[in-house]
Amino acid sequence: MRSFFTAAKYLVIVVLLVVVARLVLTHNEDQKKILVVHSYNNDLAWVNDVDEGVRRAIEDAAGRRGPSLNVRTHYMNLRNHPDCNFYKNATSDVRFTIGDWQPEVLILIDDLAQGLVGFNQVRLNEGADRARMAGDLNAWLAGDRCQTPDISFFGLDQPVTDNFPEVVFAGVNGGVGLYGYDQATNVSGIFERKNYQALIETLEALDRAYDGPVDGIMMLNDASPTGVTENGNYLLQDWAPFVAHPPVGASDFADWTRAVEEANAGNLMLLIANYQNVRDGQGGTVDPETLVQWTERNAKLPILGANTRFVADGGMMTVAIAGSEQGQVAMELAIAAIDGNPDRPHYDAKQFLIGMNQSLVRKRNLQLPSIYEAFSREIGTFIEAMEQLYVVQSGENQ
Amino acid sequence: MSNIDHSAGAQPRDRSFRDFVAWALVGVLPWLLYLRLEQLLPFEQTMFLTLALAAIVMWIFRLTPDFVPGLALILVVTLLDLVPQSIAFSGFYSQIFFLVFGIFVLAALLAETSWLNRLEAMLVRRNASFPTRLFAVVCAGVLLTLVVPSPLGRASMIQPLVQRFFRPDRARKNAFLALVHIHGTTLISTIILTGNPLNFVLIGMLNEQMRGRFQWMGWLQAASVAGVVMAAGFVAAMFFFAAAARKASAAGGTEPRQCAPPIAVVSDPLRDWATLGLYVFLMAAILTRSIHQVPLEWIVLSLAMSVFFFSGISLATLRQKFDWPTLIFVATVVAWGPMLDHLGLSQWLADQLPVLVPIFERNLYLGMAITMAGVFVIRLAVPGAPAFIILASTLIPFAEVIGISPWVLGFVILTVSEGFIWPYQHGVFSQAITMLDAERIAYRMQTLITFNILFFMLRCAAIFISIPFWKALNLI
Repeated sequence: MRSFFTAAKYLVIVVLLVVVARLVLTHNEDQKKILVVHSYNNDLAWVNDVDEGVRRAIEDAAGRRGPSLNVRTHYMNLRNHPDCNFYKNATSDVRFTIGDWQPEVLILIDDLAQGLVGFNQVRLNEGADRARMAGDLNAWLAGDRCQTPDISFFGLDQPVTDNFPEVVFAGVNGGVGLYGYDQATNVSGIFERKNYQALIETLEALDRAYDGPVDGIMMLNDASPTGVTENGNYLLQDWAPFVAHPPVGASDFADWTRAVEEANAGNLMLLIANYQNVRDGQGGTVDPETLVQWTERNAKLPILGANTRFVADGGMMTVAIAGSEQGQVAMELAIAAIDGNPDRPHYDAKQFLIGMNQSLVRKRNLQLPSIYEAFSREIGTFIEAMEQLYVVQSGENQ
Repeated sequence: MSNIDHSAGAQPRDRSFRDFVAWALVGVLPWLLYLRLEQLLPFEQTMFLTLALAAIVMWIFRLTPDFVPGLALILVVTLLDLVPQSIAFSGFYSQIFFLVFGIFVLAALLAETSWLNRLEAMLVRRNASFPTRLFAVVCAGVLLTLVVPSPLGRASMIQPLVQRFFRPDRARKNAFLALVHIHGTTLISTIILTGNPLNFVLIGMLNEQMRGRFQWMGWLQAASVAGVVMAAGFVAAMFFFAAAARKASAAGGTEPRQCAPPIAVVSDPLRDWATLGLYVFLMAAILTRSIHQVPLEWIVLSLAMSVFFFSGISLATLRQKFDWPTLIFVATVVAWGPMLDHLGLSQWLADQLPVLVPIFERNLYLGMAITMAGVFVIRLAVPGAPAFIILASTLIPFAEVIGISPWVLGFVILTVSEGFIWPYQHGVFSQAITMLDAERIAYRMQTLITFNILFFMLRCAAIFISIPFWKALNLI
């Protein structure tokens, strides 16, 4: 009798274990897996802003009892290692995670991730010339970083052939044709194109507030892929009433200095968006804060930033696309795709941020419309006037 | 140095003066470091480095059990509010803690089974030849590497298997057997994730997105070429041992085989087979991870729980066989990475090696060789675990700087720092020597040292040969 009860006890335990295991497995199956892939690392304020938006959308979804989500974030850290071999290795890491974890949706942030990761995951329309697109993309990825390698180097010759995930892009400045997204059926996303109307309006306000002559504007960026795209977009834009001078993509500090001198000589207002990849000539990059502060000190005319961090890095004023909107909309698109929504829209950014540093505004004796100060104060990007100039507070860009 | 008969009854040396000096250094060296760094770094960073050095000095002189300095460090940094408690004690609620906990429960269960006794009984019954015994010891060592994550634990488990086959007067043969024993249980301990507690520390030091890649199978894949090289070297050594032993026997006439009385095996067949079943289940779960998507640590922890559900281990056994000190040690040192990150010291430490950056960028092999030489030198003075933690805390952020996978650098440090030449450098070796001396068994120290050097070089060769493979895996 005793052995019977012992056996029965073990049977009960086995049944309980099986029930619990079953519960866990069903729970795992029900969860929808979303992989967020950042081109850069979380040492960039922009990346944290995007993550904040992603979090917000997840909370909203949980609030309205949307699908059960399992979200992972992967940082490719490409900004800190702008070389082809690192691009290849970082891409291989992401592919490993995709293959191993098999997410239903991929959210890709910023241009490099689209090229390195997104292109292989798209379901192209019939008749799309994939080989030609892969060749173009390969050359773009290599840029001036290395000689254009074999097509297999970045793995562009190994597209996914079944079980396509949904791809959602965000943080893309130019078009998406390069990544094949315009000929794909599983891609939606949001562009990070600058809000040019807002930029022009602010430039006009600066022009009015500035005493001296303003003969035009000039865009100044670093020579990173994003910077190059940004300069291309600048050329396509109508900047009336301003005369737009040819943009500069400065690869090193000497180029940057020359561009600032050129702007001073021609009475041009500088418009700066990307400045994190300016080489210092000693194998490293110029610290962004040092660069912005130097530029702010040496530029004759007011400078307008077009980057979330510009004021935090020591700039006077910025009008930037909100990273949180990019993250939030991308996650909402991901959830919509999971919910079975058949639309695959490509949205434009609508929300922008303003930041200003009162000390620098006063230093230049500018009288700006008070709406700028009110809005920057509201969103926490306003830096009060201080005794000492160029002191930067931390955390003002959330 | 041949046929040394180390006497076992030597008086324990008086260590009171040494301990006094060591404790004094625990105070003095950090103080000097503090004076030096005070002007260079903010208070929090200086204080943390000072306290860390105190812990390191304690480790070097083995003044306390290994987990004590680690625990003391996180206690003091919490009390001084240098690091938030949630970061300092993060090792205790990281997944690594539960992975190690589960694995240790399974290892304790394995120690309770009679599989090794059965093997021993069979070898005695069959009156196995010398090569067969070598082979049996190696197989047991390698198989245990899969499941018992402690080299010392494995060596102790296999000890009875070896001990019976030592002959008091055959110094050369005994040395071979001892070599197979110590290297069979240590050589491939870094190839398999569950083979060494420091492997878990390395995993804990990687960031979240990288950990996924180096779970059990991923780790084995990345370490496979090194593993194959080491295995090939080991097999060659075995052949040499067997051949040399045969020659010695032929020269010295036939060795009368002692017919030892057969050993009776007391066993609980249900437990034996259930344990085996548990391990089969674990392997199956590891191999099917992409289907069920349950992380390794939770699988291991649930298996450990089922051991208790089925009364596989009694509380008394758990108290005796479970390696609590190592578990706490792992939990305290896993937090080093997050603490250094929090204080902004990772980058500072990585920046202290500016000379290495161009070397690594120009010639990876040279960079690796310098790293390995550095590990060797540090290991002359510092025991394995602390040496690994010091080096890994510095070099893993450095790996990020030069853009190679932190796992690769961590694995290199680990594999080299687990190598040893002299007894004081590794617990398994010193334990084996102590046992031989205590049992008054003759052995040739010279043979042991020579082969330790060869095995050390084998480790280095395995790493160099792995470099093209790591390149192909896009890790460097």
